[in-house]
Amino acid sequence: MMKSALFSLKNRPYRPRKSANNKLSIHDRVIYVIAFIIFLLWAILLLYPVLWLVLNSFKTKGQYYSDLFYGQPFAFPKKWEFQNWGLAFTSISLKGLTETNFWGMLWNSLWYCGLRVIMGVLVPMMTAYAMAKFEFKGRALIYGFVITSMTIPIFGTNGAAFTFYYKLGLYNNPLFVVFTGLGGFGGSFLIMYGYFKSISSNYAEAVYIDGGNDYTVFFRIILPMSLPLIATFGVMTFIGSWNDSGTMLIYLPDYPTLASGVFELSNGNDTLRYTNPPVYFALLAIMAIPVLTIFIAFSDQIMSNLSIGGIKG
Amino acid sequence: MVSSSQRFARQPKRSRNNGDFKKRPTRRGQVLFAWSFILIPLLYLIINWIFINGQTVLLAFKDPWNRWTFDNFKEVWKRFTDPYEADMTPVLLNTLLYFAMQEFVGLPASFFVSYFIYKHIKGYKVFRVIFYLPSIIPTMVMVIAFSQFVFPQGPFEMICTWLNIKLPTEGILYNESTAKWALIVYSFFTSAAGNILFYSAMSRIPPDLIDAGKIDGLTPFQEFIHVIFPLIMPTFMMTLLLDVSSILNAGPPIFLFGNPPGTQNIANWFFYSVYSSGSTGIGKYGYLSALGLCFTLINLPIVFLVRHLAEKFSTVEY
Repeated sequence: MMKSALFSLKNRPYRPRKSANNKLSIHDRVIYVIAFIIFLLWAILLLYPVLWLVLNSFKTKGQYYSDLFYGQPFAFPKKWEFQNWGLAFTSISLKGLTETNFWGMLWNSLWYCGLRVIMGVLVPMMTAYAMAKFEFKGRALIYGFVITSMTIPIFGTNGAAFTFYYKLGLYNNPLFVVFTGLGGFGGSFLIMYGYFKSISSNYAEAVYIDGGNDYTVFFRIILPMSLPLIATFGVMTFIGSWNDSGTMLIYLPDYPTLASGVFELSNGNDTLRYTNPPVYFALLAIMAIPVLTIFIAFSDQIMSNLSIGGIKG
Repeated sequence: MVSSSQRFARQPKRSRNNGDFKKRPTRRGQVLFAWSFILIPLLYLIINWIFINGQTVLLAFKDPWNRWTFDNFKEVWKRFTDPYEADMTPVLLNTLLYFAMQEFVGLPASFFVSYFIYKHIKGYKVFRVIFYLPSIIPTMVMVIAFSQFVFPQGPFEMICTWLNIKLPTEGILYNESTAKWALIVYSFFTSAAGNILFYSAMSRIPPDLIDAGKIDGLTPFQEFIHVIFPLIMPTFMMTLLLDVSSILNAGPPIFLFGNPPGTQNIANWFFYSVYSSGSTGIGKYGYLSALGLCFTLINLPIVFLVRHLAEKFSTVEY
């Protein structure tokens, strides 16, 4: 019951009923007004710092510092310096073993996210499908092991994990992403498992009658049928990977993505964040645009289909 | 008895279709198919869980020269109890403080937001999206936006000056007494309202139950306490279980903030140890592993207790 309550894929839409009995009393109205004011303030507190950052990305470096010095942090740009956004594309570079510019970081972000999305959706789908729809010896044991591995937390494995991947030759090697993508028994496995359990076996029956086998069922029927699920997981995995800086900083330091790159560019005193803050702010804004665009395009699907919150890298 | 809607297996081997006999997958073929899908992920899980966790245990009992020792555990004890070298005590206290704030302030706030969004407060669709945005916008962007906002002479300081509140000259993020609380506030504002888990659980409650409460004249507060909260108890217990399981991860993204003074928590300490040492630290992660092992042993009974409670309270049927 608990699992089904948590991991159901579709919510029935709730609509407050409008009837004579449902009219709010004055006391309730006051509570709703107070709640609305709190919501509004909360939304402003969340959005304003980000908007302030974007606004300051259009200031000249001189105006940015003079505004701070003369106590005018809320001032608008005197001259809109659109050039800052151009400079974010052309002037930044990250010096590691090899020098990486904006386009290099963008390319690293794209292949990293691409691999993560393909493997992070397909592999759990395959494992969840096999576990949900087929009976074989050891199935219950594997399921129990998967649940145990998820619910028993082991701390301090960072050192052993790093040593293991280093000795495998996966440190600073893009194959690290492929290898770690082979794990198909994570949180998404449980959601997909519940989904496949609810699918009727009649589809497979029809394919068998037409002479198909189980691979035909999965790749020709189940995958196309699960497109909404694939899209939701794909989008969430993309967003998580796009924003993931920790993995790249530890395991792939010579392949900086935009997320790990902007982190490097904010540390130290002579980094872009301090030498030219408006250009750095422009870079941050540029980095947020792809995920925001995808979120806006899929927001209805994400908000209504996925009832598990806070997936983030 | 196997439900036909649940299993593809155990089907007859042949059936008639328009006069032709088509070959169906045999039971053996289906087992092979299933294993072809799970074998590699299962091996990965075994490597990742059993091997790496096993290596962590072994590392905890080894010194940098690969000799067996208890020194790592002695070091753990010393760094929690020695009056001069107890540098891990504040780190643990910070972790517990972040966890307490998350559970006792963040969770009630999540209930509050979820309840009014569920009740379709004016503009609820817009609020729902705005509150979820911190989960979408890169954390680095949110962190820098917040840091710059509270930077010395920045907008926050300006507001405080208007309100006649004195702030440390180096900025609240760089002062040991204020940095921790600044990060707690950041964490609260960016995560408490974006938890769509409770909202989703509430939206599954049958409207008839809510209407029955209305007929009985329940106020919004009474409705939440007596009708909604008992019905979303399974979700609440699952959230609590997940939070307790990852208790050491509680807290803000300290690393992205650049490790402000006095804010360190255990998870960040683990991460930073590996990040700062990298390959030069290989062979020297014994202390880190011993520390992790100690926390695992302390945390396990708590996790089992919460799991027991979660199972006890997860039998709500509606």
